[in-house]
Amino acid sequence: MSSQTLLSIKNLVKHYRVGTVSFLGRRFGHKQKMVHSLDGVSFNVARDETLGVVGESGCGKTTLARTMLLLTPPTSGSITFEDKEITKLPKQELRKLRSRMQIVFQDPVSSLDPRMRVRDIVAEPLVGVGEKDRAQIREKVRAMLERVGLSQDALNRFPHQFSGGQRQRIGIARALVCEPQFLVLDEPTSALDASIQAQVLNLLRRLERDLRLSSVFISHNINVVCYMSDRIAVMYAGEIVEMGPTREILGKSSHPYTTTLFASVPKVDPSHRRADTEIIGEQPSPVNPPSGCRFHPRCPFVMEKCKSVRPEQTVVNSNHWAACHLLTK
Amino acid sequence: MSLFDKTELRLTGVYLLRNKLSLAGGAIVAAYLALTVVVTLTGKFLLPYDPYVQNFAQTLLPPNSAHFFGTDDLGRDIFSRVIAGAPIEAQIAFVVVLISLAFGGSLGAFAGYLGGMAEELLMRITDVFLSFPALVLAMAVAIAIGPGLTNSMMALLVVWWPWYARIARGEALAIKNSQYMEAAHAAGLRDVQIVVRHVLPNILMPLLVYATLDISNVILTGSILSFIGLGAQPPQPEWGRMVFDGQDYLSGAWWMSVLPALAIFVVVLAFSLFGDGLRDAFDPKLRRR
Amino acid sequence: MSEPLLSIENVRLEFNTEQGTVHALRGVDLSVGKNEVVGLVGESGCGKTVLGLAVLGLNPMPPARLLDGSQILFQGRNLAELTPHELALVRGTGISMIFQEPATSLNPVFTIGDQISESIRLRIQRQRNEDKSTPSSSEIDEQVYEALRLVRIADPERIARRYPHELSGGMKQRAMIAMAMAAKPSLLIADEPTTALDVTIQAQILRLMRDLMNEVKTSILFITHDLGVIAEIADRVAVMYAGHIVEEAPVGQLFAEPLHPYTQGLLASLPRLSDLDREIKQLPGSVPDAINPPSGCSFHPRCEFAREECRTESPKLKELKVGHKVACYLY
Repeated sequence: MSSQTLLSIKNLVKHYRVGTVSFLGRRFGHKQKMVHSLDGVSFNVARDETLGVVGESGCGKTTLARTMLLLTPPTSGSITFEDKEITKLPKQELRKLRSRMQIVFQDPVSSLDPRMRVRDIVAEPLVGVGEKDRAQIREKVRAMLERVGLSQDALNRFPHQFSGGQRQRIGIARALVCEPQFLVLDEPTSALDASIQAQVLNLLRRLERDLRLSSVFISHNINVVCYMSDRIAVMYAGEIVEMGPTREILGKSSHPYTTTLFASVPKVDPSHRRADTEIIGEQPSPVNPPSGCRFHPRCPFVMEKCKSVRPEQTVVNSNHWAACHLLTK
Repeated sequence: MSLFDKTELRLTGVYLLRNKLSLAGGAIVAAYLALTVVVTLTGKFLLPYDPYVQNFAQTLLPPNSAHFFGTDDLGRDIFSRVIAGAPIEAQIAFVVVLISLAFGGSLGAFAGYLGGMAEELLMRITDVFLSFPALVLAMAVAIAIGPGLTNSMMALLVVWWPWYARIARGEALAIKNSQYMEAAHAAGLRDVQIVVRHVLPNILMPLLVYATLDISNVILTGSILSFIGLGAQPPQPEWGRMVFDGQDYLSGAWWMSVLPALAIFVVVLAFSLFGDGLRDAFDPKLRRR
Repeated sequence: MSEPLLSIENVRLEFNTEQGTVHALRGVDLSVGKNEVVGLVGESGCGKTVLGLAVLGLNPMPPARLLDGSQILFQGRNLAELTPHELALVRGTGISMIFQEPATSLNPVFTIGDQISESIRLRIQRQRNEDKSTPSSSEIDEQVYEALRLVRIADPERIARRYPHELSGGMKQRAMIAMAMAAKPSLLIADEPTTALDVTIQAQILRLMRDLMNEVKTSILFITHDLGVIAEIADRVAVMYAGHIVEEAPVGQLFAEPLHPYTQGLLASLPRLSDLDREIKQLPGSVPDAINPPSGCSFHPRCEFAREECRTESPKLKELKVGHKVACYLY
């Protein structure tokens, strides 16, 4: 693995058990179901690049965000950060690593503790990493607030005194105060109005460039993800179905789901109203995913093979692959 | 880090002021607490009579201008005794509530946040305590450790903390999955740090509101313990004990029992009304125009 | 131009809150004609949802207050002046409304069929005005199935027996549309109906709504914050900002030649798949405070073209070209 790769995940699996009753720490339950949130996700993120993850609700992208940072332990799979395997790391070590891999959350309201002042909220990762020097902490918080475009009198205020866009800026300041190498952005602008979203996106682009961040940008908004990312990964039912450079995939997608996904995005141009490329049905339930290729019940090009055999990652181009039997014919 | 948000306090205050009944309660509570402080500081100095001095020439006198509440079977002025006894109630109530809040609240917060075995264990332990009516359990403990004011306080403590643990655990559960908790986790904070920095401040308000309402319960239960002879011992002028002492004279010198009972009633009601109003004012959903 | 179906004139609406008076609608003029889809677009807090609710009097009237001079003309009557009872009769039959979250609009303890039949029963009863007899249940069932088929549900008998929680998001939204259309209203007000849906499901629903409009000849007032959706479905568009309509135009015109600086800014701030290299421009500042809106033109604090007159008086909607109106002192 080249030293250009910052984070590498292989076969990441996350299953949740639902429908159980717990007693004394053990689980009982006659109707135990398994939610297949992530079913073997693999990719690398290089230094200085933004990887976008796009998918609809239930595809597993939020679980991916949490599991990638080991905020929740994976059921199986490996995660390598800075050339070190981190899935089996003891809690102490993992905590120290956290200052280098951070996350920006979606909800500007609940991602900030309503009872804490902004200066304490932003300082939190510094506390987590064990920084004791109060002057240092103060200095870094001030610097960060300035970087995200907030005035210094924000320091002593409470979250509810700020607008949604400003709260997201606070969240971004918090994520970056420790100067992480790697940033996960979980729907960072989905809760914001369009005009504010533009401000935050531009801010993020600038920060990513200035701080040389590697990031994973997760969103259901395809326009935004494509705008922000160098490469994108398309997720469906807990798996990545296609991954490659943004322009290339936009130009010609290889997986039928990718094609219909992009075709479904409303264009901001009434003269190009969508033709009848329409997709039928809905996302499969993660409890009982379809056999073989998970997209087969809705695929216009479905073949016999698709119903039973899971497609492999097939290379389409350098750095671009898709998991579809159509490509191996 | 602030626990008190100005706008929230202001709104709570505004709604509280609109609730006449709870304001009345609050006034009485304030007066009672002021009285407690004064009596504690000045002792017997300001009282019309010494609450402990017996006077066999003046036994069982009905309320009159010299003795506002009359005298008891040992000739002691009941009014002075009631005033002197006021701090005792307050003492019991605040000690029990504050310690239960601190101890039970912290345990509950940790258990709620950590989950797993810790939470299960706490839940089962509190289940045991909560399956008995508080009074019955307190009685049992008081009988076991013997009578006396301090002992009755301990009995109450043993019985009272599980309630706060339960509430704290519930509140902790409610915020456990908030994104700011996840953020704290992602920032690398240890569980203990997360509970102290985030859980405790956010559950404090609801706990405080419950505690205010709870004070009346403790006062009542405490005086009942004394009423059955397990709490304060003579000659302490504890109100419940005074009601007990006057039992035999109910048909004749009713003032011996009834007036201290009235004092208990007024204080309990005051705390109850005030706590109720506070709870309603505090909960945004319950606020009415 | 023929008589509009719905004519909203000088509608002003306020809310009394603890923090002060919220001026939600500050003199809105809008009309919806027969057989057309009018898109109402704006960001949060601009008043678009309040306007939609105001047509049917659905804003809770103690905190909300419709000010004098507000006219909402529908089928020759001013809805703003109707009694609650009369207004209730208009709902469902003349004008129907669907909302963003089908989960909260559908009653979880009744089957889909039950809920749709409720509106059908009401309509039939109103049509048979004097006759208090209830229509037969098989009659109603047939109409329920027809309503479900109308929204492209393939197996109406089975779906009618289901409860809301047994259906997916897209299906729930179709059921809501079926409920709204069951009474064959002349106007459908749709408040962010696809915002909570996945983009592929959204595409299905938008297509469905367009088809329905053509088949059943119902006009639609489509309220959303998403300009892409507006481009897909609307014939005419009205852009709202801080309780005012700032621009109104046929959809092609609006996107090709936006006149109001806010519209221009909004369009420029959207990333587009067709042009990823273009850096999106951001509008400075934030959405104005509805309790203390800026003086004069509400947009002036954020407008790069702001002049003296913009600060003092609010510009009126002026028709610049045929069908294209804008409220701005630049013109």
